[in-house]
Amino acid sequence: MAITALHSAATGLRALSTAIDVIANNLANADTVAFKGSRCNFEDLFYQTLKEPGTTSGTGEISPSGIYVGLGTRVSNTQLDLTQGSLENTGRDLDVGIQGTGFFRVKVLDTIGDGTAYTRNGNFFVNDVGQLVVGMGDGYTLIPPVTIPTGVTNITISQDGNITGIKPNSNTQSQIGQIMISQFVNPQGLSLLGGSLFQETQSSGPPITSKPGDQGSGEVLQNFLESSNVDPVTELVTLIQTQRAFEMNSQSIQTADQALQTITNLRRS
Amino acid sequence: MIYGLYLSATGVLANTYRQDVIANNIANSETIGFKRDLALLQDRANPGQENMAAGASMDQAMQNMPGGMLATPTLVDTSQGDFQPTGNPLDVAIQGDGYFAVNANGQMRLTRNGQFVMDSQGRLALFDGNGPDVLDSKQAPIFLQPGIPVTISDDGTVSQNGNVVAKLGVFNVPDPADLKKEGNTLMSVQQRAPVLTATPTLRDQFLERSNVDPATELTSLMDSQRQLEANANMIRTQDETLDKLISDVGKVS
Repeated sequence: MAITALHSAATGLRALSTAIDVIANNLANADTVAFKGSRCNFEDLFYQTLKEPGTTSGTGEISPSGIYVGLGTRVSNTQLDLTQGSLENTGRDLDVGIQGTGFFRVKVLDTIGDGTAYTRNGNFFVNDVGQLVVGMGDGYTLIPPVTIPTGVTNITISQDGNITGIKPNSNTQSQIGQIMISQFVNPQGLSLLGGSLFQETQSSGPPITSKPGDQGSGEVLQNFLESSNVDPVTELVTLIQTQRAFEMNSQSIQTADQALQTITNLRRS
Repeated sequence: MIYGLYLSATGVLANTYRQDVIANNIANSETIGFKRDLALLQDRANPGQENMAAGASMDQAMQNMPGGMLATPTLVDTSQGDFQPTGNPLDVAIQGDGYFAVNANGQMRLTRNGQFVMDSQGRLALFDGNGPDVLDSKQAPIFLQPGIPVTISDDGTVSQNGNVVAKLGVFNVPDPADLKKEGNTLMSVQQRAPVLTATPTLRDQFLERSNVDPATELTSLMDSQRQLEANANMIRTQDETLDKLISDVGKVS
């Protein structure tokens, strides 16, 4: 009956409005450092069998296949687009971009998972005790922690993550710390915490930590920040597509509604 | 007279069925790898013919009556969907015939959805709620080395660092009428087993969009709507005629 059509179209509206939410968030973060866009994926729902294959019709014929009606669609998942964002030169010593795969590992509140999270945002600051931190508020400390002694000048971060600088009363570069990079077998399985942070899950697998450039991980580039990888043109085209699909589903609803109305008014008063 | 009422009712029912199928097609107009369903109708044999097939003697009164309408088995329109570039090396689209094979709870299922992902064990899986394993040409799961870029060539060869890891299995179905949709963009085959395609044509970093065409679906939707109304009007007209018959004929004025 047309009621099925009403519900199928409603599932379409619901799924597509989720897609619009995802696109809106992508566009809102088109200028967020190291932001990774998401893509909304759909899948068809189950099929209702109106007639099994192999049944015998009134005239004795055996039908080769059955009659199925699909029950609509749903969002199967949102998929992270982990392609590299373009690296933008900032000229700031403590801005670090990752070229290639991998994440910086940072300390977050103990109540969030195992207390660690991962980010590609390399916009580092020094906190009150001299540690490198990233992000808002008090900042998230880098793991392993890197402490920049006071008065250090000429801070240089090499492509393999080695940090050197000239300490006061010295003329030579000396070692200060080492930035490490964590990779995942399935980075698309990471969960999103917001604030450019990702968290390990069962489907991402455990982190594989190495020096930048080792084990296929990305290298780090000082003075650079990774831009958002959202392409506004693609997002807007997808938005138009999604909106049209949304409108088409509302047409299905209207038609099904009219059909129901016609049927309801069959009996003359 | 009464018989005609039932014929009109089959028209209404058959067209609500068409609307159900069209609504599902439209709802899945953004589902990757979705193939639209065809809601086809056929003449139904009249009760006289049906009774004769069941061994009864010929019913003269029913012999020349029409039988109304009946839905034919649902067919899947397997025509090609448009390609959408994604830039993701694990997105693959099939050009032409064929289906990817996945292992869903121990059963082989077919799909045109080529959104693959490497799971935490390094297996190539379908990016989907349950993440069924993608099968190679020998119907075995595909294992990849983590952290090494994957390339998939046009013939389905999966390689990492230039070393061939596996060949994606692309299977063909001898009779598309045999396909049964299982939801989650998966399909099963009812009778004849799928046949391995030796030389498939794949497009890496592309996905195949749903083959639902808005113009076709909306036209069919309008068509079914009007047919439904026409049948409903026929019911009304016959009802009015019956009304006249009952209340007016034989009235003594």
